[in-house]
Amino acid sequence: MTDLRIHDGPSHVPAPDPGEPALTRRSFLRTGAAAVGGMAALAAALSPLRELSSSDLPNLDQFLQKHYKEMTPDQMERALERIRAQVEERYRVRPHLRDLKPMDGVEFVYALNLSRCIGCRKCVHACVAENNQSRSPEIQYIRVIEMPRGTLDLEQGNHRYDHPTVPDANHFYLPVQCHQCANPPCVKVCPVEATWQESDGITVIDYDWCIGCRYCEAACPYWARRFNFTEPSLPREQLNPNMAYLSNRPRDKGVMEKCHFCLHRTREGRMPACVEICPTGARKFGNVLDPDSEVSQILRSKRVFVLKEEVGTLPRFFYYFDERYPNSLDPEAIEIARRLEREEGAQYGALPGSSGPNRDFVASAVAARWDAPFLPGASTIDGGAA
Amino acid sequence: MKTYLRFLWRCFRLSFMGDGRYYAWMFLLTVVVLFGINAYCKQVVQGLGTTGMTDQVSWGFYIANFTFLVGMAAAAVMLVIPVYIFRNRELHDLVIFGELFAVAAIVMAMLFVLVDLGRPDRFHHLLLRFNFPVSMLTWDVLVLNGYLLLNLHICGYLVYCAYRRREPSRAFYIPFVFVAIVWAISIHTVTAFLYSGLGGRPFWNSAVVAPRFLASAFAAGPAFLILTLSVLARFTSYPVTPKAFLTLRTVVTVSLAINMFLLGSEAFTEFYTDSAHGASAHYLFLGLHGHVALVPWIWSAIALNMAALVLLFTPWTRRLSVLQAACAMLIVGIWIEKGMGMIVPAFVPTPLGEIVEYRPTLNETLVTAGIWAGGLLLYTILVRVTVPVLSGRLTEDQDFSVALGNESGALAGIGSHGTANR
Amino acid sequence: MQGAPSRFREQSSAFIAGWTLPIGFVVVALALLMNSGPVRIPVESPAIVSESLTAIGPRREALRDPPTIGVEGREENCRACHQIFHSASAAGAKLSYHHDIVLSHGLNDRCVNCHDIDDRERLTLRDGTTIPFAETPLLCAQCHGTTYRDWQRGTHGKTLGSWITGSGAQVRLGCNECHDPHAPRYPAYEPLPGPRTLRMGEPTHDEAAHDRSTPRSPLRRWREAASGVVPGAAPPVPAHEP
Repeated sequence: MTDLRIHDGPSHVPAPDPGEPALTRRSFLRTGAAAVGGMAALAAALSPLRELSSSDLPNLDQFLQKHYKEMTPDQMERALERIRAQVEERYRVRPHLRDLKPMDGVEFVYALNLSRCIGCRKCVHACVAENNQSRSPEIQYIRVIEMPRGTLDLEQGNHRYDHPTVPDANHFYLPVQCHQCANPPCVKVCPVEATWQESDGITVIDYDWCIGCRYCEAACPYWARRFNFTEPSLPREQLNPNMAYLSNRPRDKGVMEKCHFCLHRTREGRMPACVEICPTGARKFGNVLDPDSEVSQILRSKRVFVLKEEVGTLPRFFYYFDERYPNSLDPEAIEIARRLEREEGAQYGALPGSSGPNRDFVASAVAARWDAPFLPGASTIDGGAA
Repeated sequence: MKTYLRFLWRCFRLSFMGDGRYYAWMFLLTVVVLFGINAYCKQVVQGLGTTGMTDQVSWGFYIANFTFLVGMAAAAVMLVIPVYIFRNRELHDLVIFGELFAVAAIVMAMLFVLVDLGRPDRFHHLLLRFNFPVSMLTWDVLVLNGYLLLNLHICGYLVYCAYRRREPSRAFYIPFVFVAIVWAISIHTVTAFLYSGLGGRPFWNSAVVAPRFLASAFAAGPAFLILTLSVLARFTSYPVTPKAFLTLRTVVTVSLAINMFLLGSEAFTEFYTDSAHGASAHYLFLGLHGHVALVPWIWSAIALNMAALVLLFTPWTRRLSVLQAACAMLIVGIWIEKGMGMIVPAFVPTPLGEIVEYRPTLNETLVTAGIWAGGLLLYTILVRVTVPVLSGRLTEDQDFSVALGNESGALAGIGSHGTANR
Repeated sequence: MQGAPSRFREQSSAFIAGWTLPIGFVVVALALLMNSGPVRIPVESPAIVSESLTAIGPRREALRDPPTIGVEGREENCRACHQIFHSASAAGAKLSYHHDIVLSHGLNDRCVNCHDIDDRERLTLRDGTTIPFAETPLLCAQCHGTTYRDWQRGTHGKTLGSWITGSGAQVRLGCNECHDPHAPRYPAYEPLPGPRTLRMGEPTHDEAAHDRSTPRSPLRRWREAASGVVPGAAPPVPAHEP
């Protein structure tokens, strides 16, 4: 057993310590060589750090910059100026960058009409163009899911649908983005308070404070958060120079980002980019504290639902359906019309202005469908989320 | 103070002394550490895109190892409880190796969190705006650091007392030992709450996560200590009795059995209910829509754990070699089960039903291996230093070279390490 | 265990510890330097989206008052022609002009259902009153009452400008700024490129076939097999008419 022990004594092995009495010239050389070799290996191991560009390292101002909520107006102005300079250096564009505060008496709510969404993905790309996301690797805030009719089981959705044209007759389209929850789990879990909810309901991120632990990404039930796994790449000519501190200013590698309801636009009264681009008007945005706003009207008059209500996040993003509108292209309606035409004679097609049943006739043709069930999926939809 | 610095200096020198195998082992670990540092430097330069993680699977190998290691650290308590609560004599002089391993495991766990950060340069933000007590991650930071300090204090104090040939004062460490018992359970509970508190991840959102974590930790941790102690028994003169092994074997057996029971309960709930929330469990155990990356892993883990459990129940594991094999099997099994098998499936499918699979990249694996090697390096040094001190062969009043020169003859003094007794 | 073997081991271990370490470290350093290239990250090239496809504005340009159309390269009012030429009779008429107009408005298949037969620069309501083109929604409302109601509330249709109500900056588009009154149904769109995020991977066969509806549960499959029920997904949904 004796010779198996690890500490058989120093006589066998020269210690690398020059003060060791048993030190000989040879062992000193060897020890020195080992130390030099070790240092060389360490230097070689660290060599990739040479590639670190100056922009990867925080400069002193950035390192000492305080949390958003702790900055005085002066300090904020300095931070903004630093960011402007960095953007200008990198993109050769002087950005219109400012810090926008929430407006009083405003709580933003979003509503999305699933009867109208056709899945064209214009919102996805308008959002990318507006918000200076990385183009490659690709970061998008909105994901449009193609769902088979009759279910809200997200697992059955198709994210990569690629038909020549949309909408596809047997599917409906479910766009998802940050729901700006009133009880946001992402805010709860952040260890450094780099993300928080503002008084207008928008959950924002201080990109200069985030440490990149991605706990919020794990906590989000709507998969709304995105992480910059590499240095974001954004062609110079595609930079949107209209930016705010908490919204679409260019991000760094290693931080989170997500939809912020285009706060650099909406806090100045404009519409979010996704609302503006939507070709069907399926997307609605407004102040829920204003009873005349479109979103208030929708919440009052439509049957709305939220995704995953059971997780208790209280989203400010509502989905709704229209009642079945009269659709005179409906073959069934046309069939009824033809039958009535046969039965009731030539009154059909009477000239406008003349008396006649034309108008009632159309109404009755439509009424025949009025009680028919809505989308087959309607009952599932009331039944709750997937 | 001067004595203490001299003690540290001697410990430092001691860590460079050993025979060829010691050097080979340390060299190997150093090389792996260097490759890990190299890989981490690349990650710092290029970003976490060098890992296999994605927005879809946003935590991977790092957090999996972190979780496993927190459990290993907590498991030291399974040596402390028998000794300080049940007055087990056999384990008395071995407790310190569990605590030293807790130190190494905590350091590894914290390194795994550090390498998982996208912005390690902003680590100080934790000190400036600490979202306590709301964020479970801040709890984790607190309990992990607290546990590290507790164990450093207990081990450091006892070893230093042995070095000074002083009887340790009970007031200086017994209270800490009892705090550490509760604390050990807390570190793994908090780590479990980190996951189980997320309503958006049904796979984690289960009350059984914390008990399961503890059970698996109390199997894997003592199993690792069995392996450590057999190395110690084989290569040093430090006394490790067969009874100590048998006590640990009981702990491992019971914990593993509880762990398998809890795993079964979880699987039953997921599969019998067959709700949409079971998708992740399906992905893990059976594969989902043609995605099967984790299936072979989890079934190997279950097979290893079951085999180990059967072995542990038989008298064969009264033989050290069989016991070692069973321990190795269950460590690997639990490492898979609660590392990759616990972390990754929660992300597949994503909350929006998308399936993106996760595979660690080479670079990520190198960083992981580097941290493991670093931890083992640390543990080896700690044990290397502790053994002669506690055996009374390296003390303050002895000349360094004389003390270690005597070491070869110290075998006779196996029983005479009384100075180290607590 | 004393004697020659031990001395040999002593010497060899001294040699190993002595010279293997420096050499080993140098080898490691070289290996690290050879391996110093960046890690390959499979980043996809950016999706190309023409800016015209994300241009903001009404979907189509509606006729303004007074309405004009291009006739042989000139902009002409309706009256320029319709004062001279007789209009075709209403029912079943063949158009002698306006061939580009394809009427696909369901039952509403007569020009003069909407266009005033006497004054083509105005539209006509069911009760015979006429309205300018700017008031088109009133015309549509005659049949599409619920839609009109929703449009008034702002829950149907598109709003541009500001979200602030009553600010004057809010512009609600009219029916014919999105819908072609002659063929109100939206044409199908070519969808913009789908997601290609980092390490997203390729879809598996199941996904390519878009079939995610097979029951996952082995228990359910077994029960269905035992009872002779053909394994299937949720209750079948009748195909929906577009």
